[in-house]
Amino acid sequence: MGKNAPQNWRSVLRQRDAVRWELPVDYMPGMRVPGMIFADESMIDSMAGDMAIQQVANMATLPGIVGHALAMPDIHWGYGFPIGGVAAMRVEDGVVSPGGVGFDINCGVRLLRTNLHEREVKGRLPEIVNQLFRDVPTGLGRGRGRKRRGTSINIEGALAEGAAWAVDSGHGSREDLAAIEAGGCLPGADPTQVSQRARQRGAPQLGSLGSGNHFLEVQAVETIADESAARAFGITEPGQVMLSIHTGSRGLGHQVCQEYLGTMQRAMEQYRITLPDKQLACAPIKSPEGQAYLGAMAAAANFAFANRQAITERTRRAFQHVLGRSGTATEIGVVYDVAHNIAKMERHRVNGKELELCVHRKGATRALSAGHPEVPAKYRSVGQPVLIPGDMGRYSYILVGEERAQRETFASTCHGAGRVLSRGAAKKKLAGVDLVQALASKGIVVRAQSKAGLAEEASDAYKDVREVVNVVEQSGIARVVARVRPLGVIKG
Amino acid sequence: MRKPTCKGACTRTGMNTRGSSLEASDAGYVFLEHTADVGLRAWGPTPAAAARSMYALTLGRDPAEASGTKATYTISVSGATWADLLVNWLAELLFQFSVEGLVGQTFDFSACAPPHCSATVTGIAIEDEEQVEGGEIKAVTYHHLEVDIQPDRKTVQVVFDI
Repeated sequence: MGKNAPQNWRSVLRQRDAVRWELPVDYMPGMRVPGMIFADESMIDSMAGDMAIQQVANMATLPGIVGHALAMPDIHWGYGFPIGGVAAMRVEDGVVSPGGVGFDINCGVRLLRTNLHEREVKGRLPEIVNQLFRDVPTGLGRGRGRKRRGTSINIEGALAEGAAWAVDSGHGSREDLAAIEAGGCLPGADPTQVSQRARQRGAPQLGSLGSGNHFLEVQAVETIADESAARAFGITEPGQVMLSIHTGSRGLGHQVCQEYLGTMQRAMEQYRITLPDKQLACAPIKSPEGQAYLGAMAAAANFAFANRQAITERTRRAFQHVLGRSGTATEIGVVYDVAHNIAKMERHRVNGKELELCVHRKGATRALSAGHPEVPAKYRSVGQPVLIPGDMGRYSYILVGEERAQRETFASTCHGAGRVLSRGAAKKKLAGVDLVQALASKGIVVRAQSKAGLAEEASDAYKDVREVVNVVEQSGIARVVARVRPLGVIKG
Repeated sequence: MRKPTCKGACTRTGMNTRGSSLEASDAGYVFLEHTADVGLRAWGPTPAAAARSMYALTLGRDPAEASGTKATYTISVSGATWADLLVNWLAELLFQFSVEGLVGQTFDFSACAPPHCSATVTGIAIEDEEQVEGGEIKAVTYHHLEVDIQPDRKTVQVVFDI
């Protein structure tokens, strides 16, 4: 990396207001643009000695970057880019970097609304969560120990058409597609650029959650902050049951990224690109290597949209299985589905000029404001839903994009809470604690494949997402619509 | 660059040297703390310890304890540098684990120096996903990668995206 992190970032950063901190372009040789970190004072202090802001400086060295190298308030140390990093490169002469997307291509969140109230499911939550745990594979999710699904699944349609392929295969309805970023299918997907090995790794996992911080959560609306936007999103009252799905492109995306990092390292030599961190490996967007990665990445993103679509349908069936017997006609609709690990071709105004850019969002969520043509028609008068998960013991947020995000952050905002404890430290702190029981005492039913994995993902391991959302709201790039709290969680 | 630290929070250590004719007693691994992911430091005369530690991370226990069908397979990777070779070696083992459930237990290297590493790996193919108690590893990264090569000892540090 370029240099060591200062012990006190305040000595380097220029505070622009309570939540904006500029990293000057002369902080490090090679920076092409300044950085901008969205954070409050305590967050900046907590990053003393941390490399995440240094990674913002590294990002700013990438060829073709415009505006600012951005960091959202949930910024933390990642590979190449920090998690919470956003960078936009001119398509004309800029680069694309797999490290600016991450290994889990199109990791994202889908929010579902139901016509159920908390009181209707309260007594049946254990049944519902158990059924979800049976029906939605977690962990590796490739079917070992269950009926092995094999590698013969034809995923060409998923790679080319995304969620639409899943719908056409019987997983959901066409109506679902209207509530997914890009309609659930990124343009430019080129399945021929996805290796056979990536297909082998991903195909058996289609329709599965994975492990780590991925989850499926049954939630209840806790508070509504913006009634008009909430109504548009189909959120009607506190207590309404919602569902969140957090997962991505599974092994297929991981393998695509792993393979293209090698391709990009070779390309950097060829195009004589020198960068401060090997994990920023990149290639010109218009080069054969850049185009190949973008085609493969879009195909992997489509696989992720198909994955969340398949999980949605399994979720519907699980609810129907449990509640259908009591005669309840459960309706489950998609509020929105949005990526937070992705690179997309978008048009934005920079210094008064509209440019075609490749916007990298790594641990950052697109946040379009009211009126933008890419906001689904039914939400266009209020803006795009922005889904920000917290942790399994507290709450998550539903926001809506604000116009200022389009001017300042390439229409991007945060993506979650961010960890404060390492996985090992979380397990150590919670050794001997029966987390399932502890959460049950708070009315939260949890099923997890691994007890150790559960400890790693406990509330104690995460920042309070409210602090992150407060900064976002204060900065004016998104505003809170509603807060939801967990009722039931399944994890890998 | 700040390094991942143990600080007494090294969650597990492994010193298993069972089953490999090429393993000396001075081989093992230790997991390192990293905020979002997990790192490890492994040492031994070959990269076998690094492989074992990766399996231990995903299985949540020593790979020698895994059960399944016996399997023998060949792993052959290329890499211009030791760092590339290490990443490609572990990535290939991860791929075989993800796709076939293969867990290597003994490693017989026929070549192991840039630009090539080749080994016959003997182990098991796990059938039961419940054995994967440690969680899924997404990828092998270059983040904080360190490789120290001595004639009779290779020490590596690697961070996994999980």
